[in-house]
Amino acid sequence: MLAALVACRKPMPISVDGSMQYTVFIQDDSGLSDASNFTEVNLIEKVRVTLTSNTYYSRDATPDQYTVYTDQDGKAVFDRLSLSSYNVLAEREVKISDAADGVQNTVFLRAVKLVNLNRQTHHVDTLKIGMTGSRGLMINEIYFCGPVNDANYVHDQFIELYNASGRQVHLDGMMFCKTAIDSFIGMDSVDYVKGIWLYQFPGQPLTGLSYPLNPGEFAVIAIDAYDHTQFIASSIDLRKADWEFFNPYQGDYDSPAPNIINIIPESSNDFFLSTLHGGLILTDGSEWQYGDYNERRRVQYVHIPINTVIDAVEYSSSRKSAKLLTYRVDAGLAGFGATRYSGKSTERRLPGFDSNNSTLDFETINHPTPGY
Amino acid sequence: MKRLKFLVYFILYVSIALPLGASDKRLKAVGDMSLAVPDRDSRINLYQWAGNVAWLKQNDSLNWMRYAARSDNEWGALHRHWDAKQRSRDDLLFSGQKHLDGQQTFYGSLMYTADFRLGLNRAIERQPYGLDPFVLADSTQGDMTFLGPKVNVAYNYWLSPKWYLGASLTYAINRGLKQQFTRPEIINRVVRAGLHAVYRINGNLSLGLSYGPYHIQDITKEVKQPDGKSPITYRYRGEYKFRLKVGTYERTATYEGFNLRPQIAWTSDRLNGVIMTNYYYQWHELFDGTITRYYDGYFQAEQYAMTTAWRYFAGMRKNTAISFAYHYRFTDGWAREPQAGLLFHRKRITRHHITIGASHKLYKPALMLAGEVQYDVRNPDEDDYLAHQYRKGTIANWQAHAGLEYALTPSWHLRTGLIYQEYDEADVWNYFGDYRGLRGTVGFGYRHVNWELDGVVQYGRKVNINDAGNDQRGVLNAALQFRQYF
Repeated sequence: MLAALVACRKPMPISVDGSMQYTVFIQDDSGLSDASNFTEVNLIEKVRVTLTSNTYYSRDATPDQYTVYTDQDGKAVFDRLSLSSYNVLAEREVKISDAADGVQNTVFLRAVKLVNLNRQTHHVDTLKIGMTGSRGLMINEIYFCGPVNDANYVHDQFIELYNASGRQVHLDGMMFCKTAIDSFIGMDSVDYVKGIWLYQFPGQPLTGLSYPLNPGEFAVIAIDAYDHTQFIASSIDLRKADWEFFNPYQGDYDSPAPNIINIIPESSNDFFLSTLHGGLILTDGSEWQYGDYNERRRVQYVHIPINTVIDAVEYSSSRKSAKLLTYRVDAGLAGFGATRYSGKSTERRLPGFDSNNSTLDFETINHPTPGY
Repeated sequence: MKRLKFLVYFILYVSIALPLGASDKRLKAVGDMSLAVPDRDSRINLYQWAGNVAWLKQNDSLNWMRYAARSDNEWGALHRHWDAKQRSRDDLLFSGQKHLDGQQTFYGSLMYTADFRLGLNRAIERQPYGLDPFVLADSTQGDMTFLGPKVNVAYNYWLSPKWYLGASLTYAINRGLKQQFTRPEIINRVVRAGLHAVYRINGNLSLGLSYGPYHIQDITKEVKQPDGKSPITYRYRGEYKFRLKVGTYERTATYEGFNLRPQIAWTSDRLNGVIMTNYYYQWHELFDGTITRYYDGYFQAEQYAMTTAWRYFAGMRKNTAISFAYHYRFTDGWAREPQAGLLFHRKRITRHHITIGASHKLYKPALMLAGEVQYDVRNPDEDDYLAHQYRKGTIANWQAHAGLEYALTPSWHLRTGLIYQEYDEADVWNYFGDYRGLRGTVGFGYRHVNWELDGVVQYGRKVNINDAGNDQRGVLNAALQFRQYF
């Protein structure tokens, strides 16, 4: 009788979690590291490799993190890992001397990767590190969730741009577009991204030279460029914002900051960012067209050709949100944990750090940092 | 008139604010004895010590109704990580037993419970220290209230002179609400059934068997907060590692299983005893979502237990009772994660519990004296593979009880008692630490021809041996019970 009753009991698994091993070889892709340590495939030592779990946290609410330095064979071994997805960050500081003037400069070699450890016990990987931050203009910070408040206040949202290139770029005629609020079948195979609302910098797209941004400079674009701390103490002062989104087709308050203007008259919204899940597209402004109309949501979509996209970032407070942007412009999601009215912000791990995957490129910070 | 008003208010207050639950108020008042004192509610037989409903009729031949109220309160810093700073559990109980005819007996009870947990630290589930390693928590300390009724019915049929059959059913539903972020709502539902049989070999020896399947479901609803914020919850796997979940959802935790309990009972003029073995099996599954369900983990536990209890009546008038009980239990449980079915937690617990007690009844003066010693030792052995924590260490708890009952008149009885406790926990557990406790009990009983009234108050304090200044926990329990015989 007992045998019949316990027939449904399951056998205990033999394989245990927390016993995975991840071995990664770090390969120098830049040729800048010390040549004496090179092997045939440029495996380099003393690279700090950090694994950050996307799955497990400790009691103090920090994600599980492990750091190992590569040995002389360029190998870093991580033991006793859990079944999880990990962000792998490899970085090494390299001193370079200029032969001409003898000045020594410090550069960082970096690489980043997302790995999913499955139930296989041993995982072996190779990571190429090199110079980062040479991709040009990019969205550096998005503050979307609003300050800590009980009044549904989100007017202090802002976007920060960063010029990671070594040359001056001009913002003339560039446009900001919000991603469509629904993903659609085939979004990874069409040559455009779908969005709503278009706000444009003044000036001539592509050729204008009136609004420069120097190398290493930030530009803060506020939804409303005024001092928000007068309304919500935990908010921020955006009077020094470089730009402000302004919609002339509604009663938007126009602060002294220069305007980025709504160019679709049918749209009567200020450029408010979704407080949970959304995306931003920065385009060169040279081309766009009207797309389909969503009857249910009463939204007119616009289509932005992918080849005009300068940068795009999708964010969500939840890691499991369905993607709205094709992986061709952003393969990940920034902003995990920046829940509505939490006062948190999301910014690149380092200014200019860009691997086209916001999960890896961005981190969530406890307080917004406009302009720095 | 004033006295009458006071009495009415007092009874109303006690019945609403100070509640009760079980039926052992006399034993609670005499130093909270579990075994030493022979009593209507402490008989060593198949019903009371083995939970075999088939022995309901033989346990108690009377028809009665009982109304009771109880309030159990504790407060202070001496608690585990996920426990509440202060807890107050209030019960109202109505129960009754009726012998329908010479062959059938029916028992029924209805209890309403209000369980207030104040300053509950993060955990947002009923039993964060249950067997399974899955614990739902958030980031705040807050107040949580569980409210709900519990219904229990039992039926016993005397089939033939040698065969007795029984069936029982328990249904309980509780609704829990936390007042602070993340403001979850927990719906807890319990269904337990029981099928029981007893075969009486002769006047002394009986064999029993009970089978009890059960189903428990906890539904936790995480909703958008009133200020628009999204809930952020921590889903612990073990006590150290958790996964973060952002957003609204509904989580269902299901516990299913059964127990099978073969029993032997010996009844004679001076010696009564029961030996029971118990096989207990539980599986526990977690799901997210309502329509589409996402599997979130599995836990399984098995327990093998043996309990024996004996009481011997000595003396010409059988006014001395010597009692002994021993309980052994081995628990083996493990949990696996849902993605690849890997083992992430294993727990084995061996437990021994010994009770030795004695009582003696004097006739002049009309005094009953009782003493009891309980020793409980657990040896948990736990592997937390995610946190790479292996913990093994003894948790020992011994208690000495002393009590007396004085019959002021044939109707009035005064009772009092003391309980001294020493709790010794291996450092690896980091739950309570080592503490000592002292509690005192006072109570009364009034017997009328066909009704009786019992009351008890228990007050005490537990003090951490290493941090007596800060780490204490107070206990104040009160209960009142009225029983009427028909």
